[in-house]
Amino acid sequence: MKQASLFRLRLMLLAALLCSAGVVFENQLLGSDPPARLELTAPAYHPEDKFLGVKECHLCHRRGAEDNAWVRLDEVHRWESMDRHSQAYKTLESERSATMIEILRRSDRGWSDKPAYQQDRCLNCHALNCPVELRGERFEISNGIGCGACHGPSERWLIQHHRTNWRTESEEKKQSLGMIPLQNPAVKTKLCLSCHLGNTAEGKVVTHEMYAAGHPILPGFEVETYSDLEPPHWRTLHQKLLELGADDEKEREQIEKVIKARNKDFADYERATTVLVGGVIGLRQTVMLLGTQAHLADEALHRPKKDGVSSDMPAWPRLAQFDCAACHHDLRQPSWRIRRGFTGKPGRPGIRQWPTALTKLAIVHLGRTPDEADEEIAKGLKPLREALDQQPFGRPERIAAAADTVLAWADQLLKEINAKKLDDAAAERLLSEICLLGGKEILDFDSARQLAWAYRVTSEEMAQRSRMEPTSAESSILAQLNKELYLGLAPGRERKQTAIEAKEWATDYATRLQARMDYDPERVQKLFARLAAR
Amino acid sequence: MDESTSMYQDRASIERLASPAQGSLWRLLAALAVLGTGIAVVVGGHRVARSEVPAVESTPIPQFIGVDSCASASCHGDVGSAADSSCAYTTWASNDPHARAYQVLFNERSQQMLSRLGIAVDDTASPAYFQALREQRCLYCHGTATPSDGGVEPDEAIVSQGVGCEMCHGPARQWLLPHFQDPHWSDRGPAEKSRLGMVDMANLPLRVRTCTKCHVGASGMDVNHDLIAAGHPRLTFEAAAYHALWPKHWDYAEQRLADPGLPTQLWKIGQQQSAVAATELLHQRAQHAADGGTWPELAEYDCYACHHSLADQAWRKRRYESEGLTGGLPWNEWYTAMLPSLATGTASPQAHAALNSLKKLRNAMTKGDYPTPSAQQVADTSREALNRLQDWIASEAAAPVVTGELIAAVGESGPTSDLGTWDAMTQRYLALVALADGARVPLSDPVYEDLRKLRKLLTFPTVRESIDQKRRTIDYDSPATFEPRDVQQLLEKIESRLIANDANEP
Repeated sequence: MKQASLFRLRLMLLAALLCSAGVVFENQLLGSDPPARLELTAPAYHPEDKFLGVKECHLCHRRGAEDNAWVRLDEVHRWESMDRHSQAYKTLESERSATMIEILRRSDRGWSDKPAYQQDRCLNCHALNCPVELRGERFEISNGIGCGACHGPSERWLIQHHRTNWRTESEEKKQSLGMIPLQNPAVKTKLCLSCHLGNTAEGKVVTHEMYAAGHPILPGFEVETYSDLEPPHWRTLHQKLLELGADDEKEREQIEKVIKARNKDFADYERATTVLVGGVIGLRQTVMLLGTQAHLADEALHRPKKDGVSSDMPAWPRLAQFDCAACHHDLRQPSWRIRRGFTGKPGRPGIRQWPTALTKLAIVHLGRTPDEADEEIAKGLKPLREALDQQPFGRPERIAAAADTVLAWADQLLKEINAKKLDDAAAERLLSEICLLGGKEILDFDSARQLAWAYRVTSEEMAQRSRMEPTSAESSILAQLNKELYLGLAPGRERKQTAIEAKEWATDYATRLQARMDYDPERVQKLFARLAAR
Repeated sequence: MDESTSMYQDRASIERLASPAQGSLWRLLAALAVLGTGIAVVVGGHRVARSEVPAVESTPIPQFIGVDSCASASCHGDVGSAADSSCAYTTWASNDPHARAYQVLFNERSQQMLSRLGIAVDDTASPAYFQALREQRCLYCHGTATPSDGGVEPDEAIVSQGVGCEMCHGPARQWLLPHFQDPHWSDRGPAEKSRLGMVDMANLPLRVRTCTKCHVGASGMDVNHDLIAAGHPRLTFEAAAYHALWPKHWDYAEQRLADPGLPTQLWKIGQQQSAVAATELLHQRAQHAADGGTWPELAEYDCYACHHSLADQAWRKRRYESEGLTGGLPWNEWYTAMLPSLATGTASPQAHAALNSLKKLRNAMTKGDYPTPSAQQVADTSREALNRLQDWIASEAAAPVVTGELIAAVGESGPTSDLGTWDAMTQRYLALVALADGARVPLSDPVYEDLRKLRKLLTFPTVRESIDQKRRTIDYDSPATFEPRDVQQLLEKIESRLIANDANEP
């Protein structure tokens, strides 16, 4: 319930942004009732909540400021110099973006000839695209995904959050003042996924047309890995503990209090837990996106057509919400896809595969066997699979209804995972299970990456807690997995305050795409099997 | 009306067709009848008349009697020259792949296909397996059977003979006896024979349409995307090439001597009739979908518009972005790419009307209700295109076919490298092969060397990979290494060589 209400706040926030930015929600035009769990709109947002802008934060969170165990105080500097979120808006000024708009204009589907950096459909993810009246004096749209985009508008909490007792305030209190409680793994993952996967209610949807025009693919997302590569400008509670000095008794108490408020204890792995919660959220949001898009398509199909006005969104199918690799692969024999087989009817594309990889791991973590986990996932997704089997891409009204049922299952699963401890022994089991699953299953590129990432995060967290370095065998296998799966993200992070050089980026992107296409699960399976014997 | 429309239809459906009070049906048939070959059976019989004609219940009679009736040594089962029609059965049985079409349904791939389609049949000898083959429509192209069998259980003994004599020459129940008993049988005209169910294979359009029923597809016997996804090969029919490769069971060499332009004719008729068959099939699929059936039918689209590595996009982008089709599903152009060449240099209003109607159909398919079109709109547009194609073909029935002109036309209006898909460029290659044959270019001519090079560029690659020191061969089933710009120069070289050859002909 808590998560739901937090998420609603986030939606509230963005609805305001989008409405005033001129986005008319399709479902407001018709009165039909969408299935209950589909989040289609966001309620109005607190009128006082201004986004004060990165510069406001920079006054304190800058390099050279006095740091402590709780807060680094160089956050804006790290964001600016290493975090690609600071470059998100600049990407829209690139030549590639201009070419994309040119191509999309030709498609005659409601794309205006404004540059990408003036189009809401681009800005909603590439910047903090809030309404003008909510932009503070120091706010600049060109800051891209700045502080406020994730932490929320700071007008009502700016002063209070300077105080040390703010640290132990409840999530609810912070949230009531407009701050987004990113310490909550579910809240954080949903927030990241709103762009890195898509979110209908927030107007953040990469369409198939945008991909075809040149938008890079959105790879399977794993929240802890992406955070790690961002790189983080924060510390986990456990890392904070490690930073504490001998006389930081007060801070120690604060940390204990926060951990307790989350119903966890010191033994719980924060990052590994986030991996599992994030994994199920990944599946949940994938289904949410497909379901909400299906519902909008269903309404669009029943709405009388306006003469001569082409819709800016296709009715159905919204191809981008299906598994890209279901269609996009060379036809060849022998082929690992044929060896793997498929569920459902032949030739009926399904949802993305990667979110089920960590969902399965999460279910195994709950104590079920891998076979039981398979059954549970098949049962959970059954309504959707049946809807997608009906005809290629299914019928939207049935998909929307099926998505609703699947969401209920995913939320139930999340409750169970939240209640489950993840201590040293559980983490050890998790590592073994990852190796077993990875060694046994024929996984697609993105799914194999999910498992490799989950392993890396869990193993790193274990090493940090035990203060032991990983073995050289383990490091060597992970390095080989990295070669197969490109476990790092695209370059550009190390550059100091410069825009990513387009050419370098494009070369790297082409290499990564080629690696995806050349991917062979057999090699990766063998590496996981060797990792099991590390 | 020419009753050769019967083809594989039983008598009852012919009577349905001919019954009065079918205004639009008559209008359509009038257009088709001009052709004299009556190939509109399925459209006429099922779809168009569907809502207007009450179904007539009739007692169906099994029409097929099997190859045994033809195989007698004193009839068509002799041993000797393949060119001798008395050896037709022998040639078919020993050389013709059609004779083995049924066996294919029992190989590993076919069994895998059934299992992927959700049918668990372990015993291929069981009646359940046969039933599955029937339900999945396999029998109607791999055996001697037809979906319009009026509910008669197909006779496994006959079905299992593969694509036998009657699948092309027509169900023989009514014509077998007069065919071998009547000493004046060969004096009877095609119209009379067709009344008894015999199909006039000397009629080239009709011959091609007989092939297209399976090799392009028709209602109730089509290879749809479900089947392809389960493992069935994609269909790519080109009449001249198929005809050239087919082991003939009659004196084809003599026919070629008498009519050197036969390959050209086969190519042209093949292009037109295949387009008719493909448009008709699309019409049936769309109409079925408009009535609540499955849609979109992905087999209608360009396979390689979706099925390709994401790392390789150049020619697709050029082509589809130029059409404003970014991210859409493009209708495949295997059956339409060469039609503009057939209309080049003619002022025929029918030809241009046909091309225009196909353009509209293409727009409806690819842009109508992006990304998948409204089935009803496609059903209507395809019916219109079908009518216009038929008008065009009828208007040209008496026109001579000149190989040299067609070669020039292919060079002028064929698909080009900048906008060419693999389907289109391959059709242009196949056109040149047929036209070189039609122009009687001797096999010693260097043009064949270039054609071989071109063929190599178009062939799906086979790649050797080594994984963990194990080498293996990967057979691609898609044009993974294809680039239309690579083939353009070669195409032009071949075309000018063929034109020069043609000019030097006495």
